[in-house]
Order: sequence, then structure tokens, then C-alpha cells
Amino acid sequence: MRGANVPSAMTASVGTNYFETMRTPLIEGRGFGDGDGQDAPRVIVVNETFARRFFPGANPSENAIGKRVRFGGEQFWQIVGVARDGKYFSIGEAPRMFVYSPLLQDYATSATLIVRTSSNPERMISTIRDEVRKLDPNLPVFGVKTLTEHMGVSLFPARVAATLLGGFGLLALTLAGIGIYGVMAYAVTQRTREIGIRVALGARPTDVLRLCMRHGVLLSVIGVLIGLVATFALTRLMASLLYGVSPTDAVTFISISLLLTAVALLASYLPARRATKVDPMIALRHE
Amino acid sequence: MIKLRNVEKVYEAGNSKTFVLRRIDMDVREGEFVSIMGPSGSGKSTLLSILGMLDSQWTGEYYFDETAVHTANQKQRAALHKQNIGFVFQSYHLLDSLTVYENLDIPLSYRDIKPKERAAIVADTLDRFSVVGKKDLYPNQLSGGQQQLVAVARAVIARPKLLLADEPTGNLHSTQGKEIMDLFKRLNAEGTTIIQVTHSEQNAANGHRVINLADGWIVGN
Repeated sequence: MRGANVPSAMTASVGTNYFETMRTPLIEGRGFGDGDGQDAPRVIVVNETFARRFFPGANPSENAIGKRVRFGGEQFWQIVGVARDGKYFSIGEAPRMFVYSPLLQDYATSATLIVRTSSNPERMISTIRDEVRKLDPNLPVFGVKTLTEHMGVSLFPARVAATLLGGFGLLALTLAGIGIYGVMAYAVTQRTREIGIRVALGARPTDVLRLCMRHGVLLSVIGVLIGLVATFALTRLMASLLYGVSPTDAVTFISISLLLTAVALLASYLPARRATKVDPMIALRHE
Repeated sequence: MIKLRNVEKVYEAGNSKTFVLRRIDMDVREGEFVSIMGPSGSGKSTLLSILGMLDSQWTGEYYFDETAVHTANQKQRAALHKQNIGFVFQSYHLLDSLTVYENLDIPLSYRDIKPKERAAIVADTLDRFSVVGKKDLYPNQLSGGQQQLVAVARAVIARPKLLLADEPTGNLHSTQGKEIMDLFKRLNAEGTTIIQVTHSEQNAANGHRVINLADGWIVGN
């Protein structure tokens, strides 16, 4: 293919055991080994998107194995493995084509050393520096960080957005709680005479509490139901912003509904409890 | 049935004390019809609320059917009130958002009575007080006399031993007032003990005796 339609894929030269270290599953074929050296046939591992793009069919990954491709030059590279798609630059990115080549066949002047440890990775940093110094005292080691720190950079925009939206959500929850409290407090004030009459006619504090809470429960149930319907409709619009959770995730819907109901009940309970302390004689004298 | 000894009620504001009731000694036998009279501010309504166990901020001794109310806790007083006492107010205090039927059902709803039994009691009471035709009306669709009639029906629907009435005819014209007094006499004849607060000598004359209050003191019995 030529011109503007030339497909492009990201590439990376990786060492042996790269896929094991990164725990990137190989769907078909193999990763790189010591045998994939300078004199061996040129080999690559591609990702699922690459396989789907160039070797469509019932099983693109299987189709891709053994095929030869070239990247602009004369050199052909044989596909020996297909790796699972990953997120290469950001969490929210669309699936993109990726090609891995062995470092021994596709040398890069700068390299990133990735080390998996079974203990705390930060404790390994000095050990790694010592090992590198032993190999070549002039080789600079820089930008040392754990993978969690590295991931933090790419997750930062999403985290900021999530924190911001979470803050707005908390604000909305607080406002909803204050709103329900206000409505309930007003309703209790409006019903002071009624409560006084009911107490004079035999209502116990639990009866008064139930009477007042019924209103709050009804309000919160209606609110949560409307909210659920609106959320079902709106979360589809923000599907591209979600990672690792579906727009209609049942656990999220249930837990947030329960949280909102709990806040609404608490906001109703406080004025309702005050209603149980209404002095019937004072309430009736206000008439 | 009722025995009060040295009952006092005081309002404290800062360093000053205002006595509402002073050293009240009073006995009411079962089946009596007692009227409490006195000028405004003499403590009549306060005494009625203490007798009805709706007020607990007082000192002294109060025995209701040999039960010491003054040592009972709030829950015990509420139970005693619920089992034995019915209230009638000057302003009727029917719930405007409920029909006559629903208003009559309120006291029963706070007692352990099955819904079917409640419906039968309400139907019987509607019949007894001749308000069957008005059961689906709301209080604001009734005259003052009719509202007080429903309020009395509501007060006695749970068959209380003691009926307390605070100026029950205060908002009614004389004919309606007389009808309520006749009703009280009938209920009393059927065995209900009645204590009413009234300004009317004529209404007070319907009872067996009159207790006069002035400035919180009993000045005549």
C-alpha cells in the first residue's frame, strides 16, 4: 500500500521474556527467545488488532502466524506470535495496531529495563543500579520508577476527571440530603398540630416517627427511581469515558441507589425524630 | 378513680417562677361528671392536661385507679393514657385531610385492634352518633356542632373510662352546645367518667359538682 492509505502500527523492540515480565498473554504462537538473534530469521509478534486488520477470517490470530510482512524497507519479518491487545498510551485509547520485534534483531540505542520483583519494587532499585554499574560504569540509569508510578502519569487525566466528577457527585448528594432535610423539617413543622392531635389520641413516638418517615421514604424512592431511569439513559453517552466498568454496571447502580436512599432516610429521620418530641398540649394550644 | 395530692406546676424563666397550679388536692370517683371552672389563666386547661397525662412537668402525687402516675415513666403514662382517656377539645381538632370515617379510625389505629374489628367499631360508632350519612365528608364540610359531635365520637370510640373535655362547647352556638351537653350526660349515664373545663355556668350545671380554680388554687369544690 502507498500514499495516505499506508497503515501504521506502533513498534517496540523488546528483549526475551518481555511478555512474561509484562504478563501480556500470547494468544497464538510464541514470544522471543535467545534463538532470535542477529543471524536468525527476522521475527515479530503482533497484537490482536494487527492480526484482525491484515489477516481477517474466523481466527485472525491463527491466520497471522507464519505470515511475513515488511515495514517500508526490503526486510521481511515473520509473525511468530500474536499478543493480546493492550493500552499503550492512555486508558481511554481505541485499540491500535502494535508490533513487537526482538531487541537482538532490531537494536535500539536507548532501552527501558523492566524488572518484575516478588518483593517491594522500590527496594530493588539500588540492586539494579549496582548490576548496571557492574556491566558498564559509564551507562547512565535514569527515570527509575515503579510501574505503578509510570501508570500514574497516563492515568492522571482520568483520575483528575474522576476526582472532579466524584466531587460533584458528593456535592449533589449533600445538596440532595440538605434538600430532603429541609422539605421534611418543613413538613414536620406544618404537621405539628396533626402530630399533637395524634399523640393526644394515643400515638406513641414510634407511630409519629413512622408517620413522618413515610413521607421521606416515599420522596426518596420516587427520587431514586427517576434517577435510575435518567442514569440508564445518560451513562450510555459517557461510555467512552469509562474503563473497566460498563455504563449499566449493576453493582454501581445498586450501591449508589442504596447510598442515596440511606442519605435520604437519614435526612428524613432527623426531623421525624424531632416530631416525636412534640408536646401535644403546646401543639394544640397553637391553634 | 383519680386522686391528686399537692400537685404543683411551675414555669421558670431565669430567676422568676410562675406558679400555674398550687397545692392541688382533688378526688374524682368513677362515674362522676365534674366541671372545672375559673377565669382565664386560672390553670384549668393545665390541670386537664395533667389529668390526661399529656403534661409530665409537674410535682406532687397523681393516682389513676390506684396506679401512681407520678412515678410512672413516659412509656407507662402513654399506655395508661391510651387505655383509659379520651380527649375533646374546644377547637374539635379533627384532621382536615381525613374523612369523618378516617378521623374516627385514628384512635383505634394506635391500639392493637384488627382492621376488620376496627371497621365494625367505626361503623357502630357512626350509627350510635347518627353520623353514618357523613362518614365520607371532610371536617370542613361539616358545621361546628357536627364537627364537635364527630370529635366526641372519636374521643369515646376506644371506650375510655375517663373523658376529658376542654371547653367542648366554646365554639358552638347554644343549641349545638346543648346537644353536646346532652350527649355528655348520656355517655356519663352509660358509665363514662367525665371532667370538663368550662366557662359556662349552664354547662357546669350538667355535672355532679364544680371545682373552681383561681390563680392556680382550688377555691371551691
